[in-house]
Amino acid sequence: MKFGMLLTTSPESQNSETVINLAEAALEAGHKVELFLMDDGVYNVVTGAGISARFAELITKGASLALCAHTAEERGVEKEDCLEGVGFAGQYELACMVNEADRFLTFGG
Amino acid sequence: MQPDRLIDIRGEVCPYTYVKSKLALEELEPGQVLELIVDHKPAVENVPRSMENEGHEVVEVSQINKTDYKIVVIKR
Repeated sequence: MKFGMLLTTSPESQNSETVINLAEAALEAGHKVELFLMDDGVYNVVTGAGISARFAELITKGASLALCAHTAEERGVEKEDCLEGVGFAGQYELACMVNEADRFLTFGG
Repeated sequence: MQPDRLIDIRGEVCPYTYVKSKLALEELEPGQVLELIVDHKPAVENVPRSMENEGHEVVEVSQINKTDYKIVVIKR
């Protein structure tokens, strides 16, 4: 099964832990996981953010991570600020993710 | 390469950069050329990528001045 997840809240939100825990469980069960970060969610993958290391682990475990380049730009977040392996994408990629996922979960404020 | 259609979408941001590009391309016949002018930096990567993903051919992505970029796509 392919899971898609959208996270739009900043690192201190409980949503980050929930997304990480769900993604880890899905990967361990052999499913595919694609995460899309948007709005304040982009801060979760800024290198140095407390929780970014756990998102880095998700990438190592095989999850695909992308963020909205437009909302990152509006927040002054550049590619070099982010974890390696995070794709800078757009609403087109999010639409494809939603279309292709067997289950799509959204975590927002 | 002379375009069959040129659209100036400076001032537009995601997702309208992609949406307007896609709508313009839908009005063309296969083999025809669409030229886009954008000034939204993320669009310079996102629009070509989405066009190629849809099966079209991106033949040029270039910066034309300090703020503006040109994207040329052949509809396939």
